[in-house]
Amino acid sequence: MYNKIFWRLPVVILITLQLSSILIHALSSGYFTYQKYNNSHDHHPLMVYLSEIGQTKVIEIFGKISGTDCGYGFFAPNVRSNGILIVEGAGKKTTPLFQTHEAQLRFDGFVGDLINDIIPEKASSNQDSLTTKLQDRYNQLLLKNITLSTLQEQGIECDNASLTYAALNVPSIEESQLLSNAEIEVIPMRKLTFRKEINK
Amino acid sequence: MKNNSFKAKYWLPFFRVTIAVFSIIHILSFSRDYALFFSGNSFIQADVMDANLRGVAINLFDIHLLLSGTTLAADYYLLSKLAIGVYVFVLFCLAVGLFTRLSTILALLLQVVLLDSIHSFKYGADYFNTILLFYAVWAPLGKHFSIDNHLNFSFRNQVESALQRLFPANIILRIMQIHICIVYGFSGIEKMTGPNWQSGESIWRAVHNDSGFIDFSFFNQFLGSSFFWALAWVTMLLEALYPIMININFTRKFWLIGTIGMHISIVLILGLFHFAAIMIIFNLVTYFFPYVKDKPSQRSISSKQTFISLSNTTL
Repeated sequence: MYNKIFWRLPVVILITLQLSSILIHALSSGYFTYQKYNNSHDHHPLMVYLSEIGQTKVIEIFGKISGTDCGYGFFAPNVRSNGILIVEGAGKKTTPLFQTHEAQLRFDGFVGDLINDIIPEKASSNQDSLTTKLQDRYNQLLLKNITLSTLQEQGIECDNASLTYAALNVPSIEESQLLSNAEIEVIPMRKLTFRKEINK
Repeated sequence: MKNNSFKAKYWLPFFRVTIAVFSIIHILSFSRDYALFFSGNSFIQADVMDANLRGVAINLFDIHLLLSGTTLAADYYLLSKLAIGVYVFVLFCLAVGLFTRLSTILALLLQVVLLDSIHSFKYGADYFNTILLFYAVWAPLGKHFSIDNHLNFSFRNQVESALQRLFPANIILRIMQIHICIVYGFSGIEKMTGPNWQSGESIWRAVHNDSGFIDFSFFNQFLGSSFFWALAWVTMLLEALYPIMININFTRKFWLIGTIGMHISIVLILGLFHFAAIMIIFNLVTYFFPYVKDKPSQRSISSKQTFISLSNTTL
């Protein structure tokens, strides 16, 4: 009997860890995405607890190695707008350019994710949590990196540069029915300016 | 179908070859842009990228720091290219079934390290690549149609038979089946909570996002009809009912065809080629190849007939 338990124990541990990690991440990711979409800050204590379990070292490391540290609500609860980054320097407007479709796809995904995190200048308030503010600062640092790399890559030398972060808004079905010539609208969400030190 | 009758000789080699080939194509697909992701002049500097990680995984920047004082520490891009080269090599070993278990473990670790090094640019296909490589570690992928079968190392054989006893292929397959059911179930239910999915607006948005390979402006003629609403609900029901329908023998093939069709549509509409490919592999590994039936060979039929005639004679 002990022999049988010995041979079955590893697979039981694997099943327990794997299914716990899948369910914890899928449930908490789905729930918090839904809450964020509905702008609700009143979280259910059970889901907060579940999310805390998901952030424990064991589950986090296991999730990273097993790939289960993600949710599965692809394009849910809404297909988001694509984003675009417009870099301006020395009177020229440009955007990061890639040679491969895959690289472009990865970059577009990153820009799309920023839409969810970015705080429009006017909307930023004291109510934002420290984590949100820190994430916003970090995003600004990422955008500064991208601006500098884009200018260097395309050989544009300048003292001042700016980066406009815009959302590409697809007109709704209703708008398209009313206006036959409704087109994708570029909605600037934030503009960051950088001085010469970016070239240092 | 009973657990122990899953056709390991079909799903195991298919899983091994497809996950290895997919992973090679996936990492090499943006090789011409590596400098923008992995070099010292990348879009986001490695130290900035590293700053947002919570320190639970080792990425290339950490390895770079560990190697301080060596040539590799001086050239981050060289280190990255070396890691990618080793990754492709172990994946090739996995594809042909050479030192399969070791190759799979190394492939998984390198994939996690490489993708964590550019974690801001990770997307769904990367997560599913990790998921399938993780399962590949536990499954006896070198059991059929592999070079390992022709190598007779007694130590490797002993370790392999112990691992196969500890982690039987049928149980690994069952976990994979439960996993894919959770994936689609959650995806369908989460979509159902979105008002834009309920109204069909999400499909309209997706086809107009200008990310795919085909110009879908001809879809505009369906404006005013229930076309987008119906397409959205077909997608949501296909996903939400997947855990039930895929496990019923009669509906399995219809749901597989529908799901694979949905992923091909995602390629055309959103251009997510790699994501669709890995999901199709996941579907075929879990719910197609394990259920493939052997055609009765001529020899077995004739031996059966002989048995029947012998029985008749006895009677």
